[in-house]
Amino acid sequence: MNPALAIEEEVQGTSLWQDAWRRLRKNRMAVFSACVLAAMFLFVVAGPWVVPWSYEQQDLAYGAQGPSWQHWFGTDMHGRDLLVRTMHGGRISLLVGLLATAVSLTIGVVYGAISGYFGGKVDAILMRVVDVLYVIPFMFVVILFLVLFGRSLLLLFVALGAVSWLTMARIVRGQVMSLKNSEFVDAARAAGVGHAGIIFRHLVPNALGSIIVYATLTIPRVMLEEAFLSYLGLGVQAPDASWGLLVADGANSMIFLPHMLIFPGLLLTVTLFALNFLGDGLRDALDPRMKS
Amino acid sequence: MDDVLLSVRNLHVHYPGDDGVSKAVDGVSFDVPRGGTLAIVGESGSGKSQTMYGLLGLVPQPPGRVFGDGAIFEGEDLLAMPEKRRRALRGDRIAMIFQDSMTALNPFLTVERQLTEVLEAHRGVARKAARAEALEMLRRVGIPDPEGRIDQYPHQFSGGMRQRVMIAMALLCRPALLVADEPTTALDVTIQAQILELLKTLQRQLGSSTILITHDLGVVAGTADRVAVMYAGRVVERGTVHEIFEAPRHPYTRGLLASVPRLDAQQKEQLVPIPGQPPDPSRLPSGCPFRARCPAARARCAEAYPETTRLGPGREVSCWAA
Repeated sequence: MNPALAIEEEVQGTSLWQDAWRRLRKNRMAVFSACVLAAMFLFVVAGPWVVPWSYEQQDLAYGAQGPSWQHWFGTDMHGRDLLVRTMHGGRISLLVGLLATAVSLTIGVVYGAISGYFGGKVDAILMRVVDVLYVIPFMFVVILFLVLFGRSLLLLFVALGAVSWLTMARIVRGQVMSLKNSEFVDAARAAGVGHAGIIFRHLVPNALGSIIVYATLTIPRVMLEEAFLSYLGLGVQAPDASWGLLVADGANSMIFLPHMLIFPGLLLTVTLFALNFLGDGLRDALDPRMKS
Repeated sequence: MDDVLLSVRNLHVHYPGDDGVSKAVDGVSFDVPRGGTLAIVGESGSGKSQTMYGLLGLVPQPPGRVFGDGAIFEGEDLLAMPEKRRRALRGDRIAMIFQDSMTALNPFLTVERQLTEVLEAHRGVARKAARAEALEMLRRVGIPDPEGRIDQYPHQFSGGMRQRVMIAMALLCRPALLVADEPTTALDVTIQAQILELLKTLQRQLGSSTILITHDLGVVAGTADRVAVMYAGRVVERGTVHEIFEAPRHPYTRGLLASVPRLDAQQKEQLVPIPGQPPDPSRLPSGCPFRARCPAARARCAEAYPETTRLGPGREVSCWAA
């Protein structure tokens, strides 16, 4: 190689994100999971356009049949194609997971960062609020929400997100507390940067590793919770579908029509596994002490 | 001292703890001449940095307590003004350089962002204009190829270059007072000389004053005009560089000078360390805190803290034996 070029490359160095990316790529399980998730996204997002059926289209003559060339995943009791319903259900489930996680991320990060940064009385009050909320059985709260305000998809997102920010707030608070005594925070203060600038420009980006990891682990948890709610009949309502609802339907008739449980159940399980593995991989990759 | 930029009187920084109040700074007074350099000298834990943290409002209150008879900077009292005003001064009229540029620069922000942030906070300039100013300042502090380096992260810079970035950051708003907290301690000796030279040049060009916090008397001799020697949270001796080096009055100052190698010394002359350790700031002994280590200690030293003797304009010493 041209020596000048070699020097050029050396000077480039590696940023923290490049390092993390390199470590993540070495983790086969995480890479495999990411591929599975990408395929799953493609499947549920693009799938319904390709399949000639719609998720609510009934064909009573074809009701409750096992997999066939026409209906790969079979049909349900109302003669709806299970393949397209699984795809549609996946859309809803992933959407719930992502949006509720976004809600929990926003509240949790802001709340935790403020609590950790100001410390003292502010921290004591904010964290006692979190402690109290922790004690309340949150599924009960979500159920109450849904019963009081009626079932709607939007409410489901907000309710699930609003109860899952507590741990995020605690994690961010802990990170911010340990970071706020760093010299770069003193330096920023000495340069006249205000509180908001220090919190959101200096502290939160430094805690991003933990935040991302916890967020990836929140997505599958929220999806499970949605499945649980739908199973109870409080989540998504037919003819709409989510993986949780499809599994619930399938479980009711698993002895006679096992395909109704197997297909959505399998996809849900695979997705949850993949998200967990990716989260673990990200945690390892973003930990600078793992630098090898 | 006709033209004084900052005049600090009787500054205290206390941290109440379970076993008594920790008096990190316990009645410090000094003046910073306009356009000149004051060196604050002392061992680790003597309260040098805490003095500046207290003045700039960087001491967390509570638990810390900062009070005193005044710290007049350009006609305003730093101790009496609201925090908002102090924040407006910080980074603008008074800027600070930290010891360890590795930890004092945010590892997650590019150099550009850390520089433009300062301008945004004080000048309200648009990002693009701020970037141009940042580039100009990087060039001024001697960073080669600023255009290519401004978008890099701190860890992609060498120690000396990072310290230059810190200096650029501090000087962006052309401060009247630059506080350099051990600016060269973390650097190689050759780089130290370069950085000190750079600081001197820039100070001359911008006409700013400097407070140089250091434990390195060699650095003091080369850069400072006036010196304040600190021990256990107090200034024990003040004077010009010449006075302090040629006619030190306080036994502690003499001890410090005796423990530094000098080129003009006789070959066989030995370096004499000061025995013992500085006292715990939360358990200061009665009287003079230096008496346990002092070769000139007498009975009186245990009774009361020595009065400050005024030897001339800006020349003071606090010692019963002096």
